[in-house]
Amino acid sequence: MSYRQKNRNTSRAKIAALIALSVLAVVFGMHKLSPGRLDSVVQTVMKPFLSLRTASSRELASSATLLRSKRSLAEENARLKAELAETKARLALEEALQRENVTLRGLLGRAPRELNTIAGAVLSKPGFSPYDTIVVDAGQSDGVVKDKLVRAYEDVAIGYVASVYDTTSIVVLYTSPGVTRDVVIGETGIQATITGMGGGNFQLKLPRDSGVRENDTITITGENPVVVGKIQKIMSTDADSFETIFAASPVNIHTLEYVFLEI
Amino acid sequence: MNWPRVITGSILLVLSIAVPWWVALSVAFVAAFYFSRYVEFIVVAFIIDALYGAGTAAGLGFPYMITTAAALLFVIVETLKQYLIFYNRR
Repeated sequence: MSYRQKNRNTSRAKIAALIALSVLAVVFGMHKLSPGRLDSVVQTVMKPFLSLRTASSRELASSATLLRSKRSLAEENARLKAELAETKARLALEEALQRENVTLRGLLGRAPRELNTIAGAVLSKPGFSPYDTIVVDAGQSDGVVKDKLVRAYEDVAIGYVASVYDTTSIVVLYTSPGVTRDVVIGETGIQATITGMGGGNFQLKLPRDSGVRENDTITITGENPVVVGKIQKIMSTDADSFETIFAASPVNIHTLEYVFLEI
Repeated sequence: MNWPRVITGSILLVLSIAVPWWVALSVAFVAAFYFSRYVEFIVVAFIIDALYGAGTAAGLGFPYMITTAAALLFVIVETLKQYLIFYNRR
């Protein structure tokens, strides 16, 4: 028996739609009934492979230096030594200022709370994720809690814990597109809301002549204030009553190997 | 057993971790044209969502955004095949 071509092809599309709807029904049904259960299984199964990938790329990166010329390595060495000396000098000043800050706050009866953090290795960086998130190898079993702050180098906030699984967590970056956060700008103390733009950048809008300047720091206030970013560029036209401010995170997320999660 | 399909599926599983998400999905999308009813395309998209998506926090408030997009593309690919002479000759 021969069938009409049109009927055969129509049923093909219907079968495809049925298959697609069935898969989506299972996924969303499981998400509704037991949120995160399927994700947790995938995270548990994939974690060893993510760790293997991270270790492999690190080895590959260090092996790549064997291909560079002696001269370029020597030049980079000298440049890094100079940068290190400058950073050490700045660090000494910052440590002195921090000690003075703690003393003054103590006098006012507002000594900073001891911070409990746990270090987690970054298993996956934003380039691999469609959502500008990172996967960290610390989870519920390590005391990680949802919505807590995540820091790089202990002093810079990069995001918050969005999902916690048994041995891994997903961190949404403040620079992720659409993510917003209330902050305070530099010496002016102006409160504003930053919006992530992706790629380590933020954007915010303030009234013209607000007094903010390029290189002003952006901080999250609290018992332990923490830096989130630095203003890179301020743009406005004569017709605008607002100025658009572009800022960036001081941390290069793509080179991060460890982060600190508050517990 | 359809060995080419099994091998392609295994490769895609490795790619979903080893390379950026768009590379793995692009390869899966091409494979969806080659194989009939290539559900593995939606499965790879789900793995990527489960690994990197953060429920409603990421994906602008819509969970499993990549999975849904892959399911839609799957239906479109299967429907497109009826208009391609290459598939009608099989």
